[in-house]
Amino acid sequence: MTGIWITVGIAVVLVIAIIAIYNAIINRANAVERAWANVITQERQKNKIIPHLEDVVKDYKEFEQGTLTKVTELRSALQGLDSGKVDTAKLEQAEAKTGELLKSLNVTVENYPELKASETYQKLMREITDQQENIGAAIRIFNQNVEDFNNGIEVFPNSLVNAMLNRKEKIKTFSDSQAEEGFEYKPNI
Amino acid sequence: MVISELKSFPGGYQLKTKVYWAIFTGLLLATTVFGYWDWSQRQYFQQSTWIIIAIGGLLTVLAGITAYYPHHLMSKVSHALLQRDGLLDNNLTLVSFNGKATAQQFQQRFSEFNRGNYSREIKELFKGSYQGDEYSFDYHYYHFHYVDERIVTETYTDSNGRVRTRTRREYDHYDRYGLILPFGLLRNFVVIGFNLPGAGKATYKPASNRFNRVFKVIAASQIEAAKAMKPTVVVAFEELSNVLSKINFEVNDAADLCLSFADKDLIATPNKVNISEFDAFIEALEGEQEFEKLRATLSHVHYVMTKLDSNF
Repeated sequence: MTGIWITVGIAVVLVIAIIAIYNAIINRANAVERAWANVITQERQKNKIIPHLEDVVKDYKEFEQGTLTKVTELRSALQGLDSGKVDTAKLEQAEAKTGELLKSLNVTVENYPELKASETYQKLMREITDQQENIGAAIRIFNQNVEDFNNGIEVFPNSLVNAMLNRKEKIKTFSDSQAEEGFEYKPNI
Repeated sequence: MVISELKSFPGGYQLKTKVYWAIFTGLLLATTVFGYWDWSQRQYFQQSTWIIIAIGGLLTVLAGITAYYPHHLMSKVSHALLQRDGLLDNNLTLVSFNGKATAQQFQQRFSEFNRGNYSREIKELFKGSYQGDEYSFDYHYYHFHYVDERIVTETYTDSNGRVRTRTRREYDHYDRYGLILPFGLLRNFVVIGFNLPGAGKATYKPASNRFNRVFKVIAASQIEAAKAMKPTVVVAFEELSNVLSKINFEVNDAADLCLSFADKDLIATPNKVNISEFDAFIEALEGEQEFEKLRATLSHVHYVMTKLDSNF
C-alpha cells in the first residue's frame, strides 16, 4: 500500500513540475513577444517625427531630392514591421534605412548653416537621438528576454518538456551595432 | 591650510613603537616559557606560579596595547582626515539636524521612512549639489537608522519541573541610506526594489524580464507609468541595480524624489593610505577624491530626468 502512495506522490510531483516548466516557457515566450512589440512601437514613433522633418527641410532643394527619397524608404520599411511576428531581418532593414537617412541629413545640412543652427532643427535632431536611444534600449530588452527564453527551452529538463509539449524554437537575438551604439547609457562602475 | 600644518609638524609621523613591541614579545615569551617549565616540573601550578603568570599576562597585555594603540589611533585620524577631504572634494557639507525630528519630517513626506515600530532616527545628513549637462540640483544625502521591536515567546522548565512560557522583547536594528532632491517631472510615482511600507500592487509591468525580477512600478495610472517607463529608463534602472542594492525610487506628491538603498559606502573615502606613509598621504589629500558610487547614482537621477522631459 505504501508503495502505491509513494508512486502516486512521485507522479503528482512530476505532473506539477511539468506544468510549472510548461507555463514558464509560455511566460518567457510571451515576454519575448512583448519586448518585440515594444521595439516595433518605438520604431513606429519615427512616423511621428518624419512629418516634422519634412516640414523643416521642405524649403531646401537639395534635401527634397536626396533626403526625402530616404524618408520615403524609411516609411516603407517601418510599414513592413509586424509587432505580432518576430522578424529581425525587417527590423535590421528599418534600422539601416534610419542610418542612411541620418547620414544623409548630417552630410546635407553642412551646406545650410542657418538650418543647422536653427532651434527647430536642433530640437528635431535631439528628438531623433532620443528616439534612437529608446530603440537601442528596447532592442537590448528584447535580446535579454530572448536569452531568457532560449535558456528556458535549452536547459534540462525544460528541453524535454519543450520537445514534448511546447515545441518552441530557439529565437535569434537582434544584432545591429548601429542600433546598439544608439544606446550609450553605461553607469556601471 | 591643514596640509601646510601637517607638513610643518616637526616631529614626523613615523611611530616609534619598536621598544614596546620588543617588550611585548619578551614578556609573552618569558611568561609562556616560565609557565611551561613550571608545569613540566610538577604537572600542576603552585599558587605563586599562578600569581607570576597572571602578572606576566597582565604586563604582556599592557605592552601590547601600548604598542598597538598609537597605530590604531593614527589609522583612525588618517581615515577621518581623508573622509573630510573627500566630502570637501565632492561638495558635501554637514547639515545640523535633530535626528528624531528630521526622521519624523521625512516620514511625513516619504513612505520610505515609515519603517521601524520602535524608533526612527536620521544619523547623518549632508547637503550637496550636482551639475549635469541639462539639469542642476541640490540634494541631501542621509543615513536613516530604524529599530523594530518584536516580542519573542519561549518555553522553559522552572525549578519544580513545570513547563512554562515567558515573553521577552527583542530589538532588530536596520540602516538605510539615500538621496532627497526636488525632482519635478513626475508625481506620486514609485519604482520599488525593496519592500516599501504601504505600497500596493504594481500598476505597470515593463517588457523587461530583468527589470521585473528586481522592481515593480506604482503610479497614479497605467498610462502615466507607461509614459515614464520608456525603454531607456527601464534599462537605466537595470543598470542602477548593478550599482546599488535594495533600491526604492519614490517621487511624492510634491514632486520630490527620495532614492533610497542599502549601500553605506556612497560617501566613503576610497583611500586607505595612512599618515605614516606621509608623501602618499599628502598626495591623496591634495588630489581629487571621487565618490564613484555617489557619482553613478546622481548621474542616474540626471539621466532619468533628461529622458522624462522630452515631449515632442
